[in-house]
Amino acid sequence: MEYIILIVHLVIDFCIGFTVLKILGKTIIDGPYLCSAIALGMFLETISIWLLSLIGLSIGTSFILISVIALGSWFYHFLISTSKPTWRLKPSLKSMSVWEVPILLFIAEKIVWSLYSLAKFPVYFDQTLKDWSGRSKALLSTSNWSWEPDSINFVGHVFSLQDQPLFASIWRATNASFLGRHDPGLERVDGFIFWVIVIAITYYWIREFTGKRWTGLLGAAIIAALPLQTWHATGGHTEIYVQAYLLLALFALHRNQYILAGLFSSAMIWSQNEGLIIFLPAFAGIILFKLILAKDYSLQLALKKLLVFSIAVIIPISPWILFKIKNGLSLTPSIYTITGYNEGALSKMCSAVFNSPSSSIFWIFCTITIIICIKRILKDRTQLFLSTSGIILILTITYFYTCTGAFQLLDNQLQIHRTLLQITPPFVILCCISLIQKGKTALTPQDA
Amino acid sequence: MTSQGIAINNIIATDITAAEDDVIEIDFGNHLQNVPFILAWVDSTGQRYALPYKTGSENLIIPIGSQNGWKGEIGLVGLSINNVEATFRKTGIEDVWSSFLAIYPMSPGSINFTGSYFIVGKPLRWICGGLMIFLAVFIYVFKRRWDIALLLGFTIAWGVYDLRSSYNRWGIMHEIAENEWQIPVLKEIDVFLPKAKNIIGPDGSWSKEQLPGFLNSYCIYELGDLKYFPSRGGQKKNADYIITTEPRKRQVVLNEGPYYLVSNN
Repeated sequence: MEYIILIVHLVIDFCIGFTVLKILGKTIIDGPYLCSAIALGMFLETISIWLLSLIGLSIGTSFILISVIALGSWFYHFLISTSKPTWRLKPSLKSMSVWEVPILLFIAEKIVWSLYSLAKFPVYFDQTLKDWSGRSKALLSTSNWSWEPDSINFVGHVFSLQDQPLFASIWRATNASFLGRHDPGLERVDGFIFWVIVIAITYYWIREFTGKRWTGLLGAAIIAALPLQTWHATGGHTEIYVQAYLLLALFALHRNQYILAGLFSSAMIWSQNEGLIIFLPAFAGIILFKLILAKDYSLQLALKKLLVFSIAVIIPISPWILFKIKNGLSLTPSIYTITGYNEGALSKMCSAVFNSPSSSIFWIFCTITIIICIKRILKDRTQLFLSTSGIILILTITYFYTCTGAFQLLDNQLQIHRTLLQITPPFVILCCISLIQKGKTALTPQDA
Repeated sequence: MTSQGIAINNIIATDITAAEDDVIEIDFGNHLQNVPFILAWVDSTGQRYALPYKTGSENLIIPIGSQNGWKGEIGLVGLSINNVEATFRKTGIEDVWSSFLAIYPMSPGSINFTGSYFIVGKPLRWICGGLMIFLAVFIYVFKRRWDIALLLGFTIAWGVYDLRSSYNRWGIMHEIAENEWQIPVLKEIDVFLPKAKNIIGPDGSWSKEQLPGFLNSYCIYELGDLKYFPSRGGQKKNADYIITTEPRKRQVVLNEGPYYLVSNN
């Protein structure tokens, strides 16, 4: 029963995402499209359920209502409409080289362990128990949840902080409302879905650039093997949501899809408070660089694209922001209060980045690669875009961990590695495509 | 003494001379396995040092000699957990493999950072970093292509590190499977909570007093569909039942291991 609920839920999310992508004029259904549609659907479904809950509908009723609309749209576009979408999903294991098999097995080992742990482990980690799955349980109980600001149970206050967004909690509560109970695996499977999306987009982006399947698989394997990654795929935390939406937003921006990039940025804010305070400013910086570095740069065009992006960010998330302001909930966690530079923070930050078992030699490899590939990076627009994105992201994180109250989190290392994990995908892609060039200088598996 | 706000109340050694090949062997027995703890020490100048949270296991071996601040005269070494036996000794050849292959159990911190694996007191990530550079140089000498050399060097070193990480993950799975799919620290509370849920009933309410570590959150989550009164702000008095580890003279309705459900009426 758990599997059926999960599959139906994902199909509905795909239909929601598909509807939006169709409106945006996307008609070819390939791998990145599938990932984007599901991620977009999860975001829009949960924010719609939240809005319907505010007017008194239950989670189950809201989901059924949204499902009817989503399925109606799907039937119209696939069965009635004359401009039907085209499927280009042809996974093929034909002509698999001897180099690709071990890389696939390497990724498969992590997927098998994750699925096994989803099936066997309980909901265990503290923040999952309180903020994400805890509030999902409170949402379904009438006794520990209230939408009344005066109530002690206002947005599940007895369980956790009130200001955390409700994305994960609503998605998990929807599963539980149809299953009739909270299943430990279903409570955490959303992290696994986002992990698969991260692996898939990494694969597609590298493959698209280099034109070789094995290079995409290699990038996917590197990201799958980050020491903390499998724990986040199954732990129930929402850092992996931001990781996936950040990557999807960068991928959309790389393809000049500003509305889609805006929607994914909005989803980052709906996933975690850090999406608003850390990643949105960083993403705004990335967009500015992208617009300034554009081949066809003109101030008018740049402002138009920036406006399109901003509207796409603001429209879906504004009800949540207004709700927080109206009810006196803080927009940002108090730990990010600006303190000015904290003595010794930079060396602690460097130690966390370069000398930690949580990311092993990953950041050392990235630094060496960027230094020795700097000429190649400067000559290519994709690499330049990824490198500026990566640098802006790491500078933003460094600022928050050295010049705000988050400095104290460098001592106990409770959060820094989780934050760093969120920005790893663009670095993996950058390193892979700058080392494995396309065209005549390309590496072949035989070289390897 | 305190470290990171945690009381270090189990002093295991005073006035010792630190050496690079020192190891500490701590026996947590059966009852304290998987309990998170802090190991801290003070050097002769009064400077305090501590290892990030570790998790208890039977005959846990910590290669302390390689830690920052472990040099010269050490005034005091202590643990944040009582009732465990700790002994100091020099590294033996058997420690090299046993400490390298020891399984780091899943702990509440596993989502925040991963454990460091050591070979002869050196972190595995350093060894893998060295391997990456060695292979890159070696391949460059033959191929004269630094891109191939760096990529291959990293891929092999990354694979070696992942091999150890995967071994640990499957080791955790194996240990939990051997324990009838029960995480040891949850064994007693997982028996206690369903029974407590039945007693409290769908119309009843509950509160709790301080439980060890993350079990506070676990308890709130497991009973999340029953009316809960947090202990802050004096709301505890409204609850029908209270979960505690110290029943004192209150009426005990249920007891499993160290956990009690007491009536609040």
